[in-house]
Formats: sequence, C-alpha cells, structure tokens
Amino acid sequence: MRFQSRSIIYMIGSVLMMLIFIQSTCDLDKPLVPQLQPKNPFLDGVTTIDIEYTFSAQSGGDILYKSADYFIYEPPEQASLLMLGVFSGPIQVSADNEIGTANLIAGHRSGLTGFSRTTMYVKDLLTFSQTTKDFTTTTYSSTGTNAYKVAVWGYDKNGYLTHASPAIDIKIAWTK
Amino acid sequence: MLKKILLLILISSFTNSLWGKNVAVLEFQNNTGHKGLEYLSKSLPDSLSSALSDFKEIKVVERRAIDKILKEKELELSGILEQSSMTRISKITKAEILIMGRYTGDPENIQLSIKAVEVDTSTVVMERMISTTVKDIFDQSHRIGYLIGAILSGKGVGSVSVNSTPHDAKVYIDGTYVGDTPLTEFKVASGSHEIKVVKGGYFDSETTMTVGENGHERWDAFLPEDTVRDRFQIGFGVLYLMLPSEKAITPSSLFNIHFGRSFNRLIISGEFAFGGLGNKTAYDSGFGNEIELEQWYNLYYFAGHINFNLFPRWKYFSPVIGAFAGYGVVYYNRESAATSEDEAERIKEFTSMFNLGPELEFSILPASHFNIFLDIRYIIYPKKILRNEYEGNLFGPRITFEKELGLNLLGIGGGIRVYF
Repeated sequence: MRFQSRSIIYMIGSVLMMLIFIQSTCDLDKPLVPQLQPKNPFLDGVTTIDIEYTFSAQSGGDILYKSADYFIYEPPEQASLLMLGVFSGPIQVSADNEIGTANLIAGHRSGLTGFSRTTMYVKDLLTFSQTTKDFTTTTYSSTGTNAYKVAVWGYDKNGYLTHASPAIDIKIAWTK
Repeated sequence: MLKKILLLILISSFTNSLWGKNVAVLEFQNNTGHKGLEYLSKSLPDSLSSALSDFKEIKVVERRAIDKILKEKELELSGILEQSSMTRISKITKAEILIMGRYTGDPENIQLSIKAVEVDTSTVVMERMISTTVKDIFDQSHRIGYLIGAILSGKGVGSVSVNSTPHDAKVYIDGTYVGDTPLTEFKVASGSHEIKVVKGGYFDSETTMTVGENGHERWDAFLPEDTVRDRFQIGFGVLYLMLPSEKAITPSSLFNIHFGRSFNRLIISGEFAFGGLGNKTAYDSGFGNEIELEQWYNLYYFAGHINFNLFPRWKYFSPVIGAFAGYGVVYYNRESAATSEDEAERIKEFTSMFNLGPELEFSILPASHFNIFLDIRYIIYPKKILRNEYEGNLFGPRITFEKELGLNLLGIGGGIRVYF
C-alpha cells in the first residue's frame, strides 16, 4: 500500500515534469517578448504599429541585436509612408508630436532604395545626416555594443502622421 | 406810296402770266410767349418759300414786299386771317394761294400749324399740324412746303392710309406726327417715306413706303404688346465661374435663384446664390512623392441687382447692363489631422464677405412671359479668403502655412425666367 502511494506520486511527478518539458519546448518557437518594454506608441493620438522582437539573444535582461538580425513591424495598410529610426538616446517628442532628431543616428524610410515595409535588417540601416535631416545612402556602421531606442512611425496617403510603434530599448552588437 | 402799290400789282400781274399759281407765304404768328422764338415767325416762312420755289408751276410772291404792303395798309398779322383780310391781301399781291402759319409751345416741343388757303374759293388746300423741336422745325417746314408745292402744282402727290391694331396710335411720317390711326388718304409728296406708328404700352411699328404720283398706299400696322415694362420676374440659372484671380482656385458652378420687378427700363432684383470652388493643393511629402489634398470653398450669398434695359423695344434680343452687390459666407473646407483616413473629419471655417461687380445680360424673347437669358458678370470679393499650403515633414506632422487668396471671378452662364 505504501509502495502504491509512492508509485502514484512518482507517476504524477513524471507527468508534471513531462508537461513542463513540453511547455518549455513550445516556448522556444515564440519570440521572446520582454516584459519591461513599452507597449504604447511613442507619439500621441496615433494608431499603434506592432514591432516583433527577433533578436539573437538576451544579454542580462537586455535585448541584443546583431548586424545580421532584423526588425519586424506590421504597419496597417493606411500607414502608406513609413520611417524607422534608431536613436542613440531618448526620443524627444514635443507636444505637437514633433520628433527631435538630435539622437537619431540611423534608420530607413519609404522612398529610399532597400526599404521594406515589414522587415529591416540591422546591417541595412542607413546613416542619418544631421545636416540634411535625412538618411544618406551609406549604411550605418559602428563598433562595440551600444544601447539604442528604436521606433517606427507612419503617415497616411494624405500626409497625416497617423501611426507609430512603441519606442523599444535594445542593444546592438555591431559585429559583422 | 400809291405808286409802289401799283408797281407791285403790275409786277404780280406780269409774273402771274409767266408762271403758274401765285403763292404768298405770310409771316407766322408766334404764340409761344418766348421772345427768343420770335425769329421763327420770319425764318419759317422763308424755309417754306424756299421749298415752294423748287416748283416751276408756282410763283412765290416775294415775302418782304408782302410784309411792307401789309404794314402800309395796316393789316394785322394774325397768322390765320379773316376772309376779308385774305381777299384784300390777295388783291394787292395777286396771290391765289395764301399760306399762313402759327406756332405755340416751347423750344423742346413746338406745335406748328400751317394752312394753305385758296383765296377765291376759301378752300383749305392743305393743312398740317406738327409737333417738333426747334432743331428740326426747319426741316419739317421745308417738307411741308414741298408737299404744298406738290399739291399746288398738281404733280408728285400721292396719299397713304395707315391703320393699326390696336387703333388710336400716333402716326409719324418722316419723323413728323401727322395724326392718329386710322389715318385716311393722307396726302404726301410722291417718293419714299418713313412711316412709324407709336402707341403707349405697345412696341413701335415702322415701315418705308414708296408713294407714286397720284398713287395711294395702305398699311395695316400690328403693334405687339410691350410687356417688358412693370412686371414681376422669377427665375433660376447657373454660372460657370472661371478665370479666377488665383491659380489655386479651380473653376466650378454657381447656382442662383432670383426674384425681381421691372420698372419701365429699370430692373431691380434679389438673388440667392450658392456653389463651390475647388482649391486643390499638392506638396512634397518628404518621402519623394507628391500628395494632393482636396480643399474647397462653398459660397452662399444674397445679392441685390440693379439693371437697365438698354433697348426695351427690341423684340427678340435685349441687352441689359447693371451691377450687383451681395453679402454672404464663404465656407473653407479642408481635412483635419486624424489618426486614420476613416476618422478624418472635415473642418469648416467660414468668413462673412461682401461681393460686388458689373453684369451684362442678354434676354432672348424679352417680351414673352418666359424667356432664356445669358448672364456675364465679374464677381469681386474685396476681402481675401484663406487657403492652407503644406510642406512635408519626416519627423512629425506636416507643416501648414496659411495663405490669403484674392477671390475675383468671371461668371458666364444663363438660365430661365418667368414673368407675371
């Protein structure tokens, strides 16, 4: 009787272990969504553009992108013109949704060769010119691993600023 | 003195034997009360005598001699003389026909009465009464003189009869009023004559008649009723607004309804007009493409029109000129910023504004109760309206500039109108 009780406990334990194993196996196929990242658009009064995290690894709680990694975003069809910006510091936004460019170092946008509405590789990001206030045709390059804020925003066909993603915090390891 | 009279009688007898009828034109009597018109008493008979002298069959007794004799014989110049006086003058001058006249009125409207009397029989050979102005009186008296000459010489005289529907219309022959319809066998010199029939409330009717010697011409004139005057009107139309003072404005239509009344040649009317004007704007998005935005204006205004009918007697086509002044609102429509296209709402801002301008209108069949009109007007808005212009911005909302637009337009259109 005592043996039977112990066997039942082992069986239940085995089943629980199997369930935990199966669960953990399934989670590996899903993107790792950090709990501390913002979920609301970084601009006021606009519709959200979702960004999926497809980074290579997490480093001490930070999301670490490498050059071969890419961003996935899903803008609605209404957002016909898109901007992707990588900021080296906080994104400054005025009350009327004017985005400060002081910390903008790289990105991409609609109308430039190589821009994708859904996926942008880190290695394809273009350098931002503080002189022309636009992206150059040169891809951005750096060294080391640095922290950045990344955001996507979009305009509708009439030129209204109508969509924006949350500004996510990431690290990028600039290695080839 | 007696010698002079005898000499005159002798001269008269001699000339009478050489020529046809002796005619004496006496001094006309001035009944106007205007001393300034006194000169006509002598100059009108001169004009008449001049016309008579064109006829070989007529010998016009030299009028100065007649005046002298009359004064010496202390005969009163009364214009239209008593039979006894006429007989005495006739005896002295040997004139078979005496022509007398008198005039009354004022310089702008002189009534001239001329009578030719055969002394022996006391028969009025011809009598004419005309109304004319000082400016035209010599021309008219010359014509009458010519007609008298034609009658007396027995050559070149015909007659016309003029009737009209409706009756009692004034008949003018060669610009001289000769009587009312029906006018029967009115003697005129042979040749071409302009005949005009006029009656208040009806359109004039005129024709040219060629009267042969001893001929008789008849004319039945129809005078259409002149309904242009003093009537109410209501109508609607559409104007195509074009040639705007600013290129940003695109042409479009303006609809109007109007109500008014004509006072003889003056037409006063009110109008309510409404329409829209395109105001498309395009700008560089900053992404390398151009964005076009629809903006437009809605116009609503009330306007008063004062027009003047230039030719109220024209039957088929009547030009009218005038001016209008209005007051109303101009709605400025544009899209507002919104989070999505579906949520985009229209912003309406309005400004109250005056407008004014000149107008030219053409009515087709203006006398009918229903007509079509063509309308050309230039609409001037003294106050400027607002327009938004944009500049693309990669890092925030597009940049908006407000710009003032002058709104002056040419409107060409037409419509229909009913009179009652």
